[in-house]
Amino acid sequence: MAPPKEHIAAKARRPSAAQWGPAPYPVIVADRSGTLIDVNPAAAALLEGAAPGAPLARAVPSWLVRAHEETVREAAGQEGGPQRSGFRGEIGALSFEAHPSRGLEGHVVWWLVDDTDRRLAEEQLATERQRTTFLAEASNVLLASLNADRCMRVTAQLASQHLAEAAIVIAPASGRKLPMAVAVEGRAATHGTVTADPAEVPGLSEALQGFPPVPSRWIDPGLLPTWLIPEDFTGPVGSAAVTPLPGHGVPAGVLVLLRSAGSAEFKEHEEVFARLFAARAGAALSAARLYAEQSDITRTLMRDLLPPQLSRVNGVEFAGGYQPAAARDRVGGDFYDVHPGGAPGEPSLAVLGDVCGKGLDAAVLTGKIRNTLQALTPMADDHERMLRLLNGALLNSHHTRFATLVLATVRRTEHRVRLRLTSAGHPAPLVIRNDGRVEEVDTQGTLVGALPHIEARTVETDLQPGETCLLYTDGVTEARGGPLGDELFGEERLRRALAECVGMPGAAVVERIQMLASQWLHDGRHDDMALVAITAPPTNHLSAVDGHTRGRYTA
Amino acid sequence: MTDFPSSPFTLTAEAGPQTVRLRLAGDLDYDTSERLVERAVGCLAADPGPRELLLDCSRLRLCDSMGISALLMVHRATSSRGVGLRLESPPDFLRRILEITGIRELFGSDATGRQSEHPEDATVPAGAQQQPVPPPTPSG
Repeated sequence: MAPPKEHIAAKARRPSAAQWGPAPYPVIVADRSGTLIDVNPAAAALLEGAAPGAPLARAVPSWLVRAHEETVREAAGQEGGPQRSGFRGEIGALSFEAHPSRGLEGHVVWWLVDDTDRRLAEEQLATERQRTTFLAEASNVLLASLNADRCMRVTAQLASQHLAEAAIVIAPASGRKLPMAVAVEGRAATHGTVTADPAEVPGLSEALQGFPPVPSRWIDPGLLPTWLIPEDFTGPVGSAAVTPLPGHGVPAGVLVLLRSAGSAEFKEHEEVFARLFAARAGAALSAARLYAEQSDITRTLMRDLLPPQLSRVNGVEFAGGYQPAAARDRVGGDFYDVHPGGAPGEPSLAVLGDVCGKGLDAAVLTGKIRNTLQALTPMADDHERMLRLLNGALLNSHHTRFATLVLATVRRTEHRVRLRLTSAGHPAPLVIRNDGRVEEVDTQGTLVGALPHIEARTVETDLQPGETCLLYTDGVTEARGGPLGDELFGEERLRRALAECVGMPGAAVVERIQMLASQWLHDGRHDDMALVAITAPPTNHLSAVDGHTRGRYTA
Repeated sequence: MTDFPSSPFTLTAEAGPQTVRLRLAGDLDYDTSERLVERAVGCLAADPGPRELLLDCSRLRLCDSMGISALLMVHRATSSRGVGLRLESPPDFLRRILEITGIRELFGSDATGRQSEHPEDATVPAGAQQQPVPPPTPSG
């Protein structure tokens, strides 16, 4: 089919402006020396000074001049080969692709294609991709920590890097002080508090209250108080925005963005982006703050539940020791207390017990029992009554969490210590006599907190000077380990160990048993262990008693 | 039977004409005690309900305080319905816990008596040692 080819070739030999005159694209024709030969109306409208005969350099931007020179050079080298394309540049506010094609006598016909919209779309796509990546990274960084202060600093730093030149994160006030994190140009943020009135910044109070959620707002930079402008922020503030950080049902804080006078103002799409970032930062911040509040509450509760330091009360030595099962729960299911009598003559009440279960449930029950018993101290002479009242206070229709405990009413008379002991479902106390015997106190009773009726048998015994009564929880006797790894420490081993503690001060007995039980443990795992030693202090003339007492403890 | 460091807790039920026997095996503790309560309450809710619930403990390896709490919950459920409750062949450790905590009387004669040399022989025919109990009452 030769004719069509000849037809095209014939056309090319006779160029005419009429051919591209009505073309929808600007078309210019230039010769090898860079002089304009022809210009269609679209090109004439676009390019000022573009007319046949004018030098190309005067009519078109330099990028197109260079493109022309290059095209002419290449055309000389390879006759009839494909034209290079891919020239691109701006003409005025618009962006163009320039496509050359061969004309007669080495002329080059330039077709200019407006790609401004595509270019903008591409730029926006790249920006959006960048932002998505940034938001994903921001989430990772923000959620990596449950520390509220760190979260505020990271938020400020990220915002000052990606959203503005400076960013300030303000948290809801605690008292009259506003916690604040400040970052400039992506540098590490500083954190502190400022005593200031949020009402000084337009929109800040509303955003800190959070309800109803307020949109970000652009504020007049002239209205910004000096405390809000970071020290190392260069130059005057050109534009400022206040964006709330939404939290989980409560406002997590406010993000203030600052740009200097020299840089671009915030655009609408930037505001949307700032809100997306604020949503992530707010969620992370409020999670961190909720966690901090919760651990504060736990710490406060736990402080009250920690076993007390024991010492001498009304002429009687008390010593206590407690090892929770896991180091992280400092409060466990075991507890002890000593409530001194009101006056030196009145008895003191010692309590040691074990609550079923673990964790917060057990800790709450422990607190309840300890408070109730403290209130019942005035009736320390009637253990059965105390236990019935306690049982009634603990009974609960929806669970059978119970406690076992030992009550000891302790009264010093002259050199002896008189004990009234009652076990409520608890291992019986052991008494170390001065002659080396270890006696089990024959008291027994029902556990408390689960049954409507309970029984208890109180037993009285006296401690001579130097003798010790030990209350313990089954964490001690049920410590599992030993040479074979799976043997219980057991009551028999405990008795033998106590027999070697004759005449020791109570604190030394407690320490020794704790040490032996810990050594016994095979893999270090154990239940809570609590011990209380009640000791009749040795008197000076004890050193003369039968040689049983070890002189070193009687000085 | 091989002793595993931690034996899984299993419950098997055998329903007789008036008696349900639950066989407890493994560790009854913080993680498993709830299952015992649910299962026992489920057995009691059957229609017609049993007159006696037997808990066969011969293969129980461990029972911690939550396990005891579960046994007390089962006792509460049976006594409120007038159903008898008995522990069969409790191992020594369990017998001792029941003794110290003062609750062995709640769980029938096996829990108080000497442990049999052969726990399986101690299983009495259903109803043979049954104490007179009031007829089941609908739970409210």
